[in-house]
Amino acid sequence: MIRLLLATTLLITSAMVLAGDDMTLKALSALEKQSEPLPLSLEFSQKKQLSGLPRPLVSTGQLDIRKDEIVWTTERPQQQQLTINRQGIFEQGSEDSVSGSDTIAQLLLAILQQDEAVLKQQFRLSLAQNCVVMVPEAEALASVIEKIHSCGTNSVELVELFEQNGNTTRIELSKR
Amino acid sequence: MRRGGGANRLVLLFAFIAVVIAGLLIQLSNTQWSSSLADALPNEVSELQRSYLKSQQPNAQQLLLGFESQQYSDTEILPIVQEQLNLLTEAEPTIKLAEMTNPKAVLSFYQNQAGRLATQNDMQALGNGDYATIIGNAQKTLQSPAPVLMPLEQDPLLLTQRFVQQLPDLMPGYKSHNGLYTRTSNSIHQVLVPLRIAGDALSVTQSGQSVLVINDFIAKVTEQLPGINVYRSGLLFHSDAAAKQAKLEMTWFGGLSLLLVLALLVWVFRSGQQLLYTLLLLGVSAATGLLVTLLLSSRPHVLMLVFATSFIGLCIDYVIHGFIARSHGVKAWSALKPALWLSGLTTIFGYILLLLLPLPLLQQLGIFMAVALFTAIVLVVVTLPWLPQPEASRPGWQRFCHSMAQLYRQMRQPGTTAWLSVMALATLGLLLWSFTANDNVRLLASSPESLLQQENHLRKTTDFYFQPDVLLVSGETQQQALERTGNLGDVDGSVSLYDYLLPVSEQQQLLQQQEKLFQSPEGKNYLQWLGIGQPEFASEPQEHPLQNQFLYPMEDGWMSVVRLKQPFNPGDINESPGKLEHFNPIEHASDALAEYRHSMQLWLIALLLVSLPILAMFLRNQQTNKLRIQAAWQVTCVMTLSVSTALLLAQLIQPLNLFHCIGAMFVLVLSIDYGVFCVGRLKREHALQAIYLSAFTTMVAFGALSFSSTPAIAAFGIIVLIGVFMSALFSPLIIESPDN
Repeated sequence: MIRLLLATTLLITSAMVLAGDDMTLKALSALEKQSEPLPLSLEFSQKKQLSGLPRPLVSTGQLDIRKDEIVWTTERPQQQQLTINRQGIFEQGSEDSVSGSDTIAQLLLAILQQDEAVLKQQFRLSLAQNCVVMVPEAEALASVIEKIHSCGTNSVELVELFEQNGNTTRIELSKR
Repeated sequence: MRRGGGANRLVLLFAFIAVVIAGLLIQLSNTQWSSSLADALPNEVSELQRSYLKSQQPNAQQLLLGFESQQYSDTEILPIVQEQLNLLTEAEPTIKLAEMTNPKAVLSFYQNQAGRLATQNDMQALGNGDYATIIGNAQKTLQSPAPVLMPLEQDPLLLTQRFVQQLPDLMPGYKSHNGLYTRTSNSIHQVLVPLRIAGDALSVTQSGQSVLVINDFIAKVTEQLPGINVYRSGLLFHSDAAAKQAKLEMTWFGGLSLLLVLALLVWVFRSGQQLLYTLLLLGVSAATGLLVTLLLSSRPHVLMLVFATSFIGLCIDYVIHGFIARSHGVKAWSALKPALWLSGLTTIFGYILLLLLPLPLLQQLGIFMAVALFTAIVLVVVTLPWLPQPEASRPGWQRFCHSMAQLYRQMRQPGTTAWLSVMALATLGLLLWSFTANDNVRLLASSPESLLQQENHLRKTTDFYFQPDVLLVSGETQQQALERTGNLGDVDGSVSLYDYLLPVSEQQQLLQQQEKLFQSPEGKNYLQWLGIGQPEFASEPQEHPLQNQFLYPMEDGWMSVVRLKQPFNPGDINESPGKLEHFNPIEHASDALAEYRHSMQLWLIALLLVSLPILAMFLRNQQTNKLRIQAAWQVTCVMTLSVSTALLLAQLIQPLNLFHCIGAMFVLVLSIDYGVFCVGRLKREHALQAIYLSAFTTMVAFGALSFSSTPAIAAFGIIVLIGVFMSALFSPLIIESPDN
């Protein structure tokens, strides 16, 4: 009887592990479909819903994604240009990155460039409808970000960032 | 009647022993022992530095393990390390993960304190009324894709978010995974495991057990990840290696030398009576010395007991002389007694000279040695005749010493004094000319080469470590200490609590400035844009999660510690005693050792100078002044020659340090003994029997230490080995007394 119970438990456990692996594979496959050849120029519309604010903060602009960097140009409400590379987030004309921005910059770079290797290393990946769900593994990142959605069929059309403090950032992307 | 008198004497002796033991027990229970070098130098350490040393010596220890590989990625290494670590911490509850930075706790602190903390630049802009810049910066942060970490109702200007972004990183370049840290650099994947051991670091057994389980944990990880490189860092590994080495040395050197000494004593005396007597004498005399030291010193130092090892050698020396003289009859015993008193009292006088030195540890040593030696001599003189006359020493030994006495008689010439003087002065001159000392405390201990390489690798690659230098800032309150730390300004490569937290006074000022901004038209427009009302600032300041790494209580107030990543540059600060001090504990310990070495050197010279007139006054007091001075001079020459040769040869192996001087102290007092016994009315053959036996046992027992791999112990051993050999070699050259 005990042996039967043990065998059943083992079967269930291995099925769960295999199912987990399967989800990751499906998510990776979806990410591959979403990826597009670089360089890439997009328009974005960002809606930040911050806890405590009655309405979302909306900003729009352009996005130039290259192999090593992303140029994030906000046109409204305020003109601003940010360069995002592996070293961090740089404001226009500044040689120093925004301090402590390297982790988030590498993350944004990986998501917008669909860098599978980095994403697989940093996140637990799964698939929900046409969105790849990424849950951070590293403690420091997990203390800030709850999860990230990368949605779209043949390209990334929407990135949603869910923060631990209840803030959400929704970035809609469209071809120029 | 005689039997009754004997019983009375025994009762008196036992009463004395009982009083000493009772007194010692009472005194020991009320005694607070000092153990750090800082305690040994009260005038040299400021209150601030003492508080720092106290705060840095917890019994808990931190250590770091590093796993590195090019072959395995950190995602492969991490789960295996985590799994084995869980098993380790379950099996050994004293070992825990040392969370060096807890990102959740730190972030939560800043979210609670949002609005109360801002960078110096932002505070300056606020103070200058440059509201447009402050608001513009906040709007830019809000429209960037980066997450907003602070609650906007408390910190609409995101001042604290900007403050958090410029915090110094205690783990630069590493990612935290529930207390473990990973980094990939030059395609080398590294997983770091910082551990904390809650057990007593001073317990050899506990350290050994902890190292055993940690090594077992490492073995299990490497079993699953063959070829992975492992690096260890932490005092625990070094102290465990030293303890194992010391145990090995004690077992082999100590065990073998003890066996040899016992075998020799039993062979020479053909009885175990001397051993029992020596043990009793040692116990009672040491207890008396300790009791008086405890009564006269408010806080005796444990190092005093280490310095007092020479007492054992002197005690054995007196017993051997006593037993050999007694075995040769009443006449020999009577001839020995004046020499015993003279050598003993000269040595005691030498130790009393230590009281003149301004170092409490050496003063305590002076009291202990003077009292213990006086007790030992009195007991030897009084109690030895109570024992039945001992059997004469083995004929073979007597024949050997007789032949040696004859040989020296043949060697002795009218010019002996002259060339003994030349040799002594030439060696002393050579020693002074080539004198090389190094008191660096790091040179006194040794660690296995592989362990040092592992430690150095982690120091070089991780950037976790601070310099031993610190800046100490005092304050009557925590806030004042923090304010004064802030007043230091920018010191290159420094990290202090002020980098993570502003004093309450600056927080209040910041809140007032923000209120002013939100009353202004720009501020009102901004709040309207956000759609919120006046901000609600956190009312109470909180304790920072890193506070206990930078702020410590003192007897009267608080101390803030500024840690340095780069070597200290004296031009960075203006020191102000009691308020702001630079401190390097390693330099401090080395300075303390240098101070002690200088004092010991002075003492050695003083004893040499003082012993000459004392010996000239009391030696051969029935002879002419010329002969008395000649005898005293010869003894002084032998003392000088023995100590100088030992120091001269020892410095060829390693630069001289305090431990060489402790050895020299031992050699000098034994040389006085040997010289005085040779000069006295004792038959030279009898004197040599005792001197050779004493020298041989001392050389075997203490000289064996010269093979120790711990430089400090080896330094002591080599001096005793060479010095006692020289003393035993040259003292028989002293001209015999015409009386014997």
